[in-house]
Amino acid sequence: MSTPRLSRRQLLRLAGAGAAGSLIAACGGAPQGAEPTPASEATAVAQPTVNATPVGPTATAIPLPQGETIEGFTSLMANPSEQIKLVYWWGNNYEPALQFTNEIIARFSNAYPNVIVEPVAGQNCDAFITAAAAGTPPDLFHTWDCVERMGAWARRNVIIPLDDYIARSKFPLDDYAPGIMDTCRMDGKIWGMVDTAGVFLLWTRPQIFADIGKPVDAVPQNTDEMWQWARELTRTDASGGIERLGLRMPNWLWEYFAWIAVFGGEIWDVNAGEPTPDHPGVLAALNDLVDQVRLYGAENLQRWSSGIGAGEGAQNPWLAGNAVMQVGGDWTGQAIFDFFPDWKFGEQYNAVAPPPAPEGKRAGESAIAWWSWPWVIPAGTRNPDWSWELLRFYLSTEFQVNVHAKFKEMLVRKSMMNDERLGHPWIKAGRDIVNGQRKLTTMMPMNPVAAEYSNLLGEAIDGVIRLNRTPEEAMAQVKTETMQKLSELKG
Amino acid sequence: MSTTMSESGIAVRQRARRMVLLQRTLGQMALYVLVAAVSVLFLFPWLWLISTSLKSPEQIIAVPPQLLPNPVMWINYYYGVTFVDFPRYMLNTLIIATSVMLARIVSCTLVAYALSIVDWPGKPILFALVLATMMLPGQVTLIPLFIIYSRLGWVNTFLPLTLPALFGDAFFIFLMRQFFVTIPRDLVDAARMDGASHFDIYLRVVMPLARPALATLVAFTFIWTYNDFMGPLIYLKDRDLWTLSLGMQGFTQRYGAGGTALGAMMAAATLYTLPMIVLFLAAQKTFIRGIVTTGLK
Amino acid sequence: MATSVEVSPILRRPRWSKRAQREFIAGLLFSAPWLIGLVVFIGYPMITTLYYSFTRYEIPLEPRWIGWKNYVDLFTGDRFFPKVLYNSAFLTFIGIPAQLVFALLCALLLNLKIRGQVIWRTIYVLPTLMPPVALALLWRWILNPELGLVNNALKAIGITGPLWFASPLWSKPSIIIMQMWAVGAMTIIYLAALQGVPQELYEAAEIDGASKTQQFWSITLPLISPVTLFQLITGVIWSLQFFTEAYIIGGAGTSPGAPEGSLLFYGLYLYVQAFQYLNMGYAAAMAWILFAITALVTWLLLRVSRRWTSYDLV
Repeated sequence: MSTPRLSRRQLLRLAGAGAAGSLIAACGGAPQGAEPTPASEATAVAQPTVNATPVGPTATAIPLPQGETIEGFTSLMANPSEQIKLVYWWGNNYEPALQFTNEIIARFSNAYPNVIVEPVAGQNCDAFITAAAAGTPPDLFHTWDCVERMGAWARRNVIIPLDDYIARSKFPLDDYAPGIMDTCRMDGKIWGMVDTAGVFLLWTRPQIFADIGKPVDAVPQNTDEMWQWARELTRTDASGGIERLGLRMPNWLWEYFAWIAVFGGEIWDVNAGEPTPDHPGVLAALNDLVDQVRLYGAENLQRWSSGIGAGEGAQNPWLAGNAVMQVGGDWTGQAIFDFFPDWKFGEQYNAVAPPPAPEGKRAGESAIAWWSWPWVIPAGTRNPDWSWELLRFYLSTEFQVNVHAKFKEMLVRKSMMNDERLGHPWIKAGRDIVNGQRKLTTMMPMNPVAAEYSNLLGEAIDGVIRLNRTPEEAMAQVKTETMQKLSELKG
Repeated sequence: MSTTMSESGIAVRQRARRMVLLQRTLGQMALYVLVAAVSVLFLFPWLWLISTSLKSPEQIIAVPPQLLPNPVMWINYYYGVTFVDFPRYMLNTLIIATSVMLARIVSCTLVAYALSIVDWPGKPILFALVLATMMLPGQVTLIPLFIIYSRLGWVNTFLPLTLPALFGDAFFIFLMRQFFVTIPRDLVDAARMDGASHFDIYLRVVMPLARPALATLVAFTFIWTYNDFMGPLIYLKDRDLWTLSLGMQGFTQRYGAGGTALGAMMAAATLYTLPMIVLFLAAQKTFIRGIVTTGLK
Repeated sequence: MATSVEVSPILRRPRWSKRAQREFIAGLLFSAPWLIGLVVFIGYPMITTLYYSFTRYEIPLEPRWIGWKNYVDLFTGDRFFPKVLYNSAFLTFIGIPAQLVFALLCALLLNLKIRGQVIWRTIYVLPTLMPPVALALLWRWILNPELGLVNNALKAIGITGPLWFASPLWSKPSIIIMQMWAVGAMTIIYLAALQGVPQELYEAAEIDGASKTQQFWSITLPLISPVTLFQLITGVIWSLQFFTEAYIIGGAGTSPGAPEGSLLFYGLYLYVQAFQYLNMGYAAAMAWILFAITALVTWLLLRVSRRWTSYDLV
């Protein structure tokens, strides 16, 4: 089930406030080759092979009730003889999403009448860990804005590894675009499942390109060119204050990750299990950003970013034309549909993959970053088999495609992402990326210090962008401190 | 000649009286102006909130900011009302808030009485204990408390949010205590000499005098319960049990990028606070009545 | 002559006179509700968190005893801790007095004998009715450096306003301004206190020729001093734990407490340690350090207050 993607800031800020002294929370790829036809691919993928050993207390798979077909799903469990209750939590609280969830649950209950699913919306990660600590976790949890904490949860066995289930139900892991599952893989095991991936794209206002004499379908070839266009598109007033910014600077951690990816940077070495904030690609990306900051003036940029540039939702400066280009998740498109439904793709707005950094500047292959909020099955629940069945149900073609089409999101399942039902205009950019034109990278693979590492990175980058520190020195400190945290874990 | 003198005397006195009257009126007006000026400070951001709630997205980001929306987007309020199950969430919130209010009126005053009127050696220790319980941040007591309630089977009920009020709340105990200590000793002693028990004194002497403080307790309890988010989030899992603060969260998490338009969100915030304003206006009457009865009898 | 033995009134009575016994029992009875709740709802969590503070407790694994290590690490090995202490101290020792003074002024205004009390009072208290999320968002908007009310008003008189919440220097003052706007709770409490001051005292002073200012300093202030003390202590306690709005606004950047950690308050850092890093033991140690600091400050306030508070009894 897809969830709304707000900028993480806004998720955190808006997801609720506590009373005095109480807590707040918020928590929330295809290989080269021919495009498979959606229908056949779906059936081919969904059917377990003939020798599959069904999961569950009974051995025989049952057909779903007459007339009920779930595309891409085959039942592997029989309706239990006694009633089972599954408590399903997720972080979203948005009414239309709720309706969709209720629909899915209704159909699940239709298929398995003795399995009662109790959905609870709006459950953030703090509520989750509280319940887990008390020994009363939900049966299934769709995380939301706390993917960094998954590593810590796995280490403490708050959630269970899913490899067994995946193997037994022959779940097609390679249906995911390469690298996607890194977000859920740690110590050689898989701890969660991905359904939606927020891919970072470059969003532009093509009609404004006319200001610098470019046609509406112009696409910068590399970051240098992009910055040059940005500079030409920037309008300042007499005293140097910025009125319109050519390219909106990143303003939360994962947007910085998007730039680091473009420069081929990697912040985590999966093989060694160690942080690499001093990776040459990371430093190259940060130095490039610093160069731009120097050109505009740090003070001017901060003033714009916290002023006009601070709007969210309908007040997003890019939507208002105060920024001509921005790097944002593919959820940016949803805002357009919501607030400016008469905009035309290719005219008022456009979305392309972020351009790569030029050869000499980047370190390694230029990649595209993405963000996710995986599903997890908590430990200590009574019916994990059924949790998995419900999860598989959600991950079936029928629901994945329909929900992502309705909420205009990106799928990274090779068998589904080319489905025609996904009709929103910017899906093409996403498809191109996943279909192999660009490498998709999980910037922060699952690791036990991801939360600390993220905060340290954020703090360091904040200092770098304010021109208070050099990237080299800041990242060196991040590395030292994160390594120390890692060693504390082992000790 | 004497008549002329007294006539002018009267005139002088009349003029003097008029001068005093004028001064007093001017003084009054000055006070009004002062009070009004400060109230503008408090009111203006609210007006801004309401104004934003009626604006379209373009207008919201317009520079320089305009006060009057044009066009007026009443539809933002439509979103605010229809988006969540206002009536049910409101009812739940009211149930919880009222229970807590009543419980606290009883429990906090009883303990405050022990901390003020009663003359016993346990007072300093008790006072220190009461204060001490306020000093530990909620983040760390959250999980142990949740474990307790979970073992008691109270999760997914109103109980964790209401029952503890029966045992008092440090902030309000402290508040009532500070009011009780301003009650003149003579009153208490007089009642004692009349043979009143402590409970009589509590009920007939102290409590009636504490009306303004009680009104304060009621008002704040209501406001803070109304706005409490984390408590309901952790303990109320059934949507039917949800409070307004939980329900409003759904409104702010609009599906898609960037959340709802700021306008609609401001509309929701305005609607959300309306019941509190109404209640506060109602509580004011008690407040004013309380003022009249305060003082030495 | 018959000798008459007079019992001197100074002669000591038995230690627990009937009256003292009765008072003691009354004291216990009246405080019974709280004492019962203390054990279950307060005592247990407090004791367990104290225990946790001496352990390495990564929920939900078993806590592992490590003695004073958490406390030592906080003071010697945590480079965020000094900043956290500074931020919270700034907010508390500048913000609370500012709020108190402003609240008292407003209460004095509301206490005037003018018409429309109900309206004025509601307006003055309106800000308190706003839920913390809305409050934070509203003020982030009002203090928006380019689009907000304040900077545009300043621009009209030729001043370039600061970046407010986005400036490391101005972010805390911005929070204080926001809090002062929402000072209605304190105002009401002060108002209730002001109205408890007997009118006769003022009339007597008037007859004696005291000016309004003299009346204020010698009648009003002393008689509301218990309430001032209350506001001070509760304000300090609450401010040291401040979290909600800082969390909403402080996330305007890339890490908690941005910009540049200027909004990293104690409560926020505690939350990060407890719920993001799952270092419950460390967070518990932080909580108890805060407890100690708060207790110390409160004790100091109580001692100092003996000079300037006046009680009728106690």
